[in-house]
Amino acid sequence: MQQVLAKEGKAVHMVAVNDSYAAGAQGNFVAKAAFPLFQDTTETTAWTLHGGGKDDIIIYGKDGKLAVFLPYSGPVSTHMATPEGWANVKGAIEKVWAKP
Amino acid sequence: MRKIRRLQPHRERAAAAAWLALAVGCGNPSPQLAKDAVTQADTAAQAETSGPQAETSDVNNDAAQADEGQADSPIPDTAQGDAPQFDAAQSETAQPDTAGVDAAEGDAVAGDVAAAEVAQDTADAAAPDTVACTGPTCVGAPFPTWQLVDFQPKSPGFQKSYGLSTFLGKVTVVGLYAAT
Repeated sequence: MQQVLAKEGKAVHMVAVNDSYAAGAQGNFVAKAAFPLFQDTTETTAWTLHGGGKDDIIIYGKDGKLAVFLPYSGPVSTHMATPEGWANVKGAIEKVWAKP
Repeated sequence: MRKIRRLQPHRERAAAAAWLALAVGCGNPSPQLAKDAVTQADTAAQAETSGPQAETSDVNNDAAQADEGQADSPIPDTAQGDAPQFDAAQSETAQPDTAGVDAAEGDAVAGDVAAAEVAQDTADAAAPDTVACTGPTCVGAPFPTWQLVDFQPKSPGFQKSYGLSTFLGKVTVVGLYAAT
C-alpha cells in the first residue's frame, strides 16, 4: 500500500510494532514487509502506550498527532487481505494525507 | 363529563368509608362525619393539585355547563341517591375539583418540565458539552514516546533503536501486529 500511495504522489510512513510475545517469529514478518518493523518489549509496552491491540491501525498526521484510530474489531473493516479492508485503510490514510 | 368522572372515586371512597363505619357501628360516625370525610378528601385533592385560579375558572364554567344540561352526568344522581347529606356540598365542589385537577395536572406537567429544564441546565453547567478525550486513541493524541529496535533489514534504521518522532512531517501509519 505504501508503494501504491507513493505512486499516487502520497508519501507516507508505515511502520509495524510486533507484539512483545511474537519476537520469535520476526522472520516471517520481515518477508512480508519492507517498512520499519519494531519489536515491542515487555518493558516498553508500546502496544499499551498506543492504547491498542492486535491488528489495530493508527494513523498520525504530519504533525505527529493521532488522526484516525482504526481498531481491528471496529465498525470499519481493516482486514487488509480483503478488498474492502484494504480500501478502507487506504481511504483513511488518504484523508489524513490530504489534511494540511 | 370525563373530567368529573375522573375525580369522583376519591369522593366516593371517602363517603363510602364513613358510611361503612356508620353501618357497622365503628366509632361514632354520623352524616356530618361523612360530609367531613368528603370535604377532607376534596381539600387534600385540591391541595395536591389546584390553585385559586383554577377554582375561579371552574365557577365560571358552572353556568355554561348548567345551560348545556347535565343529564348525561352520573355524578349528581349517584350522589343524591347514596348520600344526600353531602350532595349539596358535592355539587358545589365537584366541578371546581375537576377543573382544579386538570389545571393542576397541567401545572404539574409544566412543573416537571421546568424542573427537568433546570436539572438539564445544571447538568450543562456542570459538564462540558463534549467529554474531553485524553487517551492515546483519541484524535489529537501525540505520538507515544517509545524507543524500540527496528528489525527490518530493508529499513535504514535496521538494528537501531528509535521512535516515532523520527517520522514527524509525514503521515505515519502504525500497525500493531503479531508475527506468526
